[in-house]
Amino acid sequence: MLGTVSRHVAALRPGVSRGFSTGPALGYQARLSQYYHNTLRDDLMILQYVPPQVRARQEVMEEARLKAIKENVGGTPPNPLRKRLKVRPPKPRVAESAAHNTPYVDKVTVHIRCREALQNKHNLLSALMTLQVVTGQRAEVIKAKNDAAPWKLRKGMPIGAKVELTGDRMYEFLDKLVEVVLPRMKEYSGLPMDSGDGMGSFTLGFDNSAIGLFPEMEMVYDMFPMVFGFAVNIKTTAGHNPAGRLLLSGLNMPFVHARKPTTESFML
Amino acid sequence: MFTRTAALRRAQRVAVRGFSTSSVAYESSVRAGVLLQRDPIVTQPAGKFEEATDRYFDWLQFISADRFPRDFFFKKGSTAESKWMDQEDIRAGEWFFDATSKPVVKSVKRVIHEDDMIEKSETSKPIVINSRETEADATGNEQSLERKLDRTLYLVVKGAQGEWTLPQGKVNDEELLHEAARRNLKEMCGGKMSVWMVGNGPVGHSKSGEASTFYIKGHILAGQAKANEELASEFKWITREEVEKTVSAEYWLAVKDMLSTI
Repeated sequence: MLGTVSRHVAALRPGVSRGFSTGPALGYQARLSQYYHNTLRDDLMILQYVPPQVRARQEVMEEARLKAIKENVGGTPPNPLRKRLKVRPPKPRVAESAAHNTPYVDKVTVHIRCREALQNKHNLLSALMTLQVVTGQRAEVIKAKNDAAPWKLRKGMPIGAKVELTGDRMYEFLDKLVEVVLPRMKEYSGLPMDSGDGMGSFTLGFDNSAIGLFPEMEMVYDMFPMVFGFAVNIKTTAGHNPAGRLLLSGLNMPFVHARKPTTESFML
Repeated sequence: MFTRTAALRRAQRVAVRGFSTSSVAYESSVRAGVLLQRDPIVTQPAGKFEEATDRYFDWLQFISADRFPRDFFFKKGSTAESKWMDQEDIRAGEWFFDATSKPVVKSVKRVIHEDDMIEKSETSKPIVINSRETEADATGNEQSLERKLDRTLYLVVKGAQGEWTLPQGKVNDEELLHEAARRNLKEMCGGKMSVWMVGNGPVGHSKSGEASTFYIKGHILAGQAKANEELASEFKWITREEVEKTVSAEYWLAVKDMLSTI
């Protein structure tokens, strides 16, 4: 079952035998990684380019907008009784489009929240193994940071599992997710256009039916006593949502408009 | 960034008409071209160094990995378990440091040979990997899109004067640069191509005499070019190195920074 492919490769190509390899033969670089570096990155740079004149004009307008906010021209006067506890830090300026600051996928975190672990810690084992099978990397246990009395949760109790992926493993995982798992899901149309955390990072949540769609899980699915839903957090260096969307849609991630189709909105 | 609404464009056209001083056709010194590429289809081949490094790190990972939870995945005494144990013995037999310090592996039960393995298991047939070289590579057909699968190919055409360039042409009055680029590509290489243009802004330019040509990048998604006899006698899909050999030295200096080395 596991490693049958590498065994044949070992038998076929004695010079490059990989008998010890438990995962798929990576070769030199993951497919999606090569695609990003050789093809997509160039396009992202071109699409995000703003001519210097336009950029200068945008900056003047932005300064005027900030000044107007500061002086509160025409707006409601600030409430003197209300004090802002937290002053939100200003958003960093969007970097100029150049080869060195083209957005890339920095890190992908996959996590499972396992509420069943409160009853029995051993339930967490399924979650840990699931993540290991799907991502090819050892999962960490997440422990509760705070008490939560309604759930009978105390600080320090194991409550979930997570994996942080970078580099080739990350690209392999994204590749599987986008090319195999999402197309197999029956009712998944894509990420909504207004998703994202404002800094170009995106989170996708899946219920427990999606985990069986991973090709590695197919073979061992019956052996898991419990299956869980999972969340995928994709951290990019885009800095703002539109650039992050551009990057992810370049990697084939589907996006849909949240707006209803016109036919439905006219129906009574 | 370069998008313009239809209303704005209409307004511009009206403005151009309104302010033009004469009705004589104005010969623009600006020309529009297309840098049309076919993306690599297969991954880059690993060099000997990469292969060795990859293999070594894979092995390091294997020996430092946590134990595989056999009890979790296999039923005790099952065929799958014994198969896995055979596999594990082969893996444990590999040693990448110097041969003198190789530990004696005691758990090897039997050595599996290639022949009896293939005979016994019908379900797991050996994987035959397709060749990276295609028929187009063998015959040297430079018009085929199926040549050099791991490289980026660029479309070049032979102009009326017999010189090889990227597809290009005039910009008409009241026409935007990206519209002109698309039209020129269609006129020169036929409409039987599905093309995605990357934005509306140029990625580079070349000069010949008075005229400057601005190039807009595009990707071919489907179809094939078909040279228009009047404008272009021939076309080729070639890599960066081949472009250097095909075009003139002056033209190469202008376009070389737009072309991918992979």
